[in-house]
Amino acid sequence: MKKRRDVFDAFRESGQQLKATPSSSAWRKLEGKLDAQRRRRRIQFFGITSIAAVLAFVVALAAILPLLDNARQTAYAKTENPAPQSFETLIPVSEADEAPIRAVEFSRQHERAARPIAEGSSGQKLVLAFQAESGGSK
Amino acid sequence: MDEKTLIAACKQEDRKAQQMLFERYSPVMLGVCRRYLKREEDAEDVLVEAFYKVLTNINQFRDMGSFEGWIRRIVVNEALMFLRRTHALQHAQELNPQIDAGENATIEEEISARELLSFLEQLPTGYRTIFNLYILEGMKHREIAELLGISINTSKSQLILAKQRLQEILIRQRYPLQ
Repeated sequence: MKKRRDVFDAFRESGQQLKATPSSSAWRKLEGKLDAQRRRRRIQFFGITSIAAVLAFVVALAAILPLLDNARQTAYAKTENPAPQSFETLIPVSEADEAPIRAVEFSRQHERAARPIAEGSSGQKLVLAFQAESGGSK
Repeated sequence: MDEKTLIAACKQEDRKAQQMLFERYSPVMLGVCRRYLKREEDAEDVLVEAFYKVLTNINQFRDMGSFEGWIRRIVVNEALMFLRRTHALQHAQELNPQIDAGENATIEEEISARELLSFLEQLPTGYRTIFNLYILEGMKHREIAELLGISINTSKSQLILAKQRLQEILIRQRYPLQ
């Protein structure tokens, strides 16, 4: 003889046994959703990574630019406006001592574009300018 | 593959393990969905959505309780959310809380799962939801009231009415109740 029991206990027991097989498209739908979620996550990851990379580049640039500017100014100062390597004391010469001054002047002229020397005729003698002034009358 | 290995593989997003998990638990969980939702298509949509949540939140599962119980809670919540979205729960009204519940009938016969489903399908959504949560999920009226955003008295009265309706259905189906 079967034992009598509460009708809702009977419901509870049969409720636990209730099973149904999903259609074959259920897994495909779920897989599609999982794939889409994976793609979204990848896009988010690359988005965040690229934003972080751009930020890092901007920060690095902001830090490096002043250093580059300093280096550029230092290089400019060295090449365009070099600091004197040594000093030479110039001693003023007396007006009486003309010869060295003239010699310097000659050498300066000599350094400029060379001008052809007018040798004159074969009977003439080539002398230095100041000798010509002092002794030319001889 | 045992349950722990399967969970660990699903945490690594192994697609074959995810499919295996779905195939292992989906028949029972679709049974749960069918108890809450009349339309088979709705039940399957809820099942897919619930398993999507299970697989994308599986890292939150701690080995503290039953894995099947954890999945079942997600499935039930998803079914309730579906019912709220479709406004099927809006018409649950509070009836006289003094209504006499009476004694539950007793039965000798077995009620098959298929018969249970056909009886539940004849209940209005509000009755069916509370009957499911109280009788089949074993929740308290306080928990049901919080979950559905209704008063405890509404939960109680809906359950009494659901029981009365079910007993009437059983009698109509010539079940020998006492």
